[in-house]
Amino acid sequence: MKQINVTIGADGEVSIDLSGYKGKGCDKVLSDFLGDDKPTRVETKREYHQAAETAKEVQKQ
Amino acid sequence: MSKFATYETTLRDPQHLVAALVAMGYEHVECSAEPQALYGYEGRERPEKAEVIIRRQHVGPASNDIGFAKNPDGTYRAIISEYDRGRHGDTWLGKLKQEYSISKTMAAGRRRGLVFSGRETIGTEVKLHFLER
Repeated sequence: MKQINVTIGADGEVSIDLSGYKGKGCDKVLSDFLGDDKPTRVETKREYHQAAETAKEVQKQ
Repeated sequence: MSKFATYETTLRDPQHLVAALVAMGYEHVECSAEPQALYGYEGRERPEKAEVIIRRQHVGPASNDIGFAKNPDGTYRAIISEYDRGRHGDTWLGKLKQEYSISKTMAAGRRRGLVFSGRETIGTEVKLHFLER
């Protein structure tokens, strides 16, 4: 199950936590939530890299 | 987890700006495509104009109109008189941005067809949860 948890602070700062997405699938979701706002920080989590590595392995075979 | 991002909210969409003001209890909010004159507590026209306005009678006793004027870059800036900044200062503007972000986030969730799974308020923070199938 893909989950999106959004935390909005009292000053309007927003944190978006996307989980369950693999590869670049979450970039579009993030972009939809950001709209015209620019992120001040983006961290890519481990499963993002895992999916990219898996894709490379499949291509090699 | 796949990704974690943070951003500062900018007031850019008049629809969410009006929704945020309504959520804060201002039921009478004017929104125009063209900037309209703001009026002071004595009913005199002020030099400032704005596209989104809360008229003084809905702001509080002896208040001036509060306006949000569109900047050339498409963002909105608050026009709040010195007198009204006591009750409508930084804390109030922060709360406005929070409500704006809630409206914007809920709209983004609806656009993507996400399932809204809950809202929590922890201290001053609001958490919105969505699921995608």
